[in-house]
Amino acid sequence: MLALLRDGDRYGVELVRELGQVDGLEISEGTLYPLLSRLRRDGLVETVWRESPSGPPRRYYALSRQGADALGAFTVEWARFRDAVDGLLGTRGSP
Amino acid sequence: MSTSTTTGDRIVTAYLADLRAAAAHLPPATADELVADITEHIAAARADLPDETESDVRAILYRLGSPAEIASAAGPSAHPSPGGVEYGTIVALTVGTATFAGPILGLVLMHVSRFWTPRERRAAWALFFAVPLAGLVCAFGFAYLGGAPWQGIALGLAMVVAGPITAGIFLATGLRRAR
Repeated sequence: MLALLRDGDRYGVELVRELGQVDGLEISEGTLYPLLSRLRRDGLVETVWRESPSGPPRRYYALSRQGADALGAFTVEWARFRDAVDGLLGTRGSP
Repeated sequence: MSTSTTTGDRIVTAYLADLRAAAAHLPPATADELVADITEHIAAARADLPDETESDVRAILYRLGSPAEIASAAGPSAHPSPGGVEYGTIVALTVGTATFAGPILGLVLMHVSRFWTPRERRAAWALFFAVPLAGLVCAFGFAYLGGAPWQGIALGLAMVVAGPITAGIFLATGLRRAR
């Protein structure tokens, strides 16, 4: 979720729709809102209300400074984990 | 506004009501936030539709998932299992009533614990005082009707002790509900 926000602010519907469509993740969009609200509480994402061309104003989610740090740390951690698994499976370097 | 909009509204209202009910186990602030987030999502998703039909609205709700699924993602639906504080509450109110401090400790522990709902706590308070009060009325009535004084005193005393014990038993039945 934080990674999606790295590419720019998104409003809730966009954000959960994209995550819901990520291959391999079988997620109902609604179940992502509790996660978003936790990220909000933990200060990893910030929200801004913006006018919408159609309908009510929308809340846009953006990565906070702290969220960017958390994402950076996770990216490093994930690469290490992936390399370790690749090493074990002998799939290193395959696409 | 076409009639399909009204149908859409009705479906959404029913869905949000189900969500509110499914979120009843969550802390009120969390439940409010969840319902607000989902309400906002539906409003924004509907605003994105060029020309809304009933099946569009159903599709939005389908992608969101069932209210039960969403609510359980926000927090475990099971009640916390009772621990030392809860058992201590019950022991203090029942067995502890043999001592003066027991019932008081019981009430304090009941409030320290987050296990019982505010309604259950109010009911326990009511039993704690109402049963002895009823006992007192009975004892006076007994004396008035000419019963032996010791019988009236014994009855009154029994009812005073029965208050905390009844409250303790009531709270104990609440523990079973959790499982």
